[in-house]
Amino acid sequence: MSAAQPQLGITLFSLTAEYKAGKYTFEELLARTASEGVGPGVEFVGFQMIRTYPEVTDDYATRLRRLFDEHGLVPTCLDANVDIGRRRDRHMTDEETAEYLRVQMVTAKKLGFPMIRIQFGAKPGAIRLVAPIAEEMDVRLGMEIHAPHTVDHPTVVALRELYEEIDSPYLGFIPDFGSSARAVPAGAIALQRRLGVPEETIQKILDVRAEVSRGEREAFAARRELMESLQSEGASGDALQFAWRSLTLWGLQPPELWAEIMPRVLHIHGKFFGIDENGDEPSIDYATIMRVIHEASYTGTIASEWEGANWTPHPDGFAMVRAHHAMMKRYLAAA
Amino acid sequence: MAKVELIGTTVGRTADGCELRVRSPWYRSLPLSSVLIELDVDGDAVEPGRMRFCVNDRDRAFDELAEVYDEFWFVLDAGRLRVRDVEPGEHEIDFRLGLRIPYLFDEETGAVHTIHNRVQRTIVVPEEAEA
Repeated sequence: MSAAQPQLGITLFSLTAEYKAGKYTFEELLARTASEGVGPGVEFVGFQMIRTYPEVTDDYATRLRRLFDEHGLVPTCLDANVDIGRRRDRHMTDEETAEYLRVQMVTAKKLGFPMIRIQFGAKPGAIRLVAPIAEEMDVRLGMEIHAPHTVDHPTVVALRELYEEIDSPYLGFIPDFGSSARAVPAGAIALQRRLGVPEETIQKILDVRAEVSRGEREAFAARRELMESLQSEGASGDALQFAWRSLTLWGLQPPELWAEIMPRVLHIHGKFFGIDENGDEPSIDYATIMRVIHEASYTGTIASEWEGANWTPHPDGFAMVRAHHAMMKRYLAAA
Repeated sequence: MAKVELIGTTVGRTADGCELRVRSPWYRSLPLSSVLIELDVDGDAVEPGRMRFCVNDRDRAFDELAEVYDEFWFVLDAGRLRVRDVEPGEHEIDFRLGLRIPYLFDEETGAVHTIHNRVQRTIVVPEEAEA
């Protein structure tokens, strides 16, 4: 084992189902993260956990920081949202986007987070506006690369070029390993059958994904055309959701391509959908991914992000994240 | 897949109709401008003007809701859909909730991704309002 290792952690997004069902409050999730040993890194979606988000009062911030300290948790990344389409009539301008991000950066700073996750609604023009604010506030901006985006998608390539130009340690990427999946989880397909999505619709969706996989179609265009086609057939909301997800949760980037951006990776979403009886993730090639992380000497955080609750009858996000940590530790020890 | 949840089969009675309580299917709070609601009662579409949606202790007409992009429906809160001119008794309802997901958009067309949820159910509007 080499000396420098990534820090492990969790994003509380993994516990969405249980949180929404009222099994845990936000405060209980933090306590349980500590007692389950799935920290020390802690990340969450601001708009999921905080009623007053995107703002917080000073008192709230003080209380939350005290909780982090009491539980020995390290705030790693606050998941901001770039709600570019929040108005019905038009997208936000670059100036409005920069201001929306600035407010969330103030909240991150108050809560002790060194970084916010941003999304592709933040166009290069907005990034230019917000970069000096990031330096001044000492809060980094991590653009999440989530399927269907891949490191070689034109939008991502444009941002990589902008990052080279500005060359600031405050700007970087957050890979989400769902961008480099190798299969749609069996449980997700079984769920569609239980929901009554017709077999031929399921097959049509999987066929389109296979065409993208073989490089015959571009992922974004294929997703749009698939959605339009299903809508014109009068497909159910469930079918449309699965069609969207087939290329949005399980992207087709080869995992070794993450190496291209590792020097600018600030944080990682260790996305996973399940862990099998051998302790591996059937849908994502973690052996390759962990090798890429090791070879890049990455010492940031890998936040385990379980997104399999939808097709799991009695989800236990903490058990899943424990299993995911065990898998990553196994790969790191062997590296 | 998380689904919209309509709470209870016996719904609330208001002075001039009923109130349905709804939980969001999404994982995070969304701006009120994201919320798109359609309702049929006993097979007839309810005019939007007969409905108001209430979160954060304030109810709004749908055209007002569409403009509120800087206030949020907190993910754990039930929204209340107030419908005028619904008589006490049993009704068949067909409720559709669309949610515009404001950070998910098509880079080429600019279209904002909208998810669709639907609940069809028999509800009972009580004779007497709750004390």
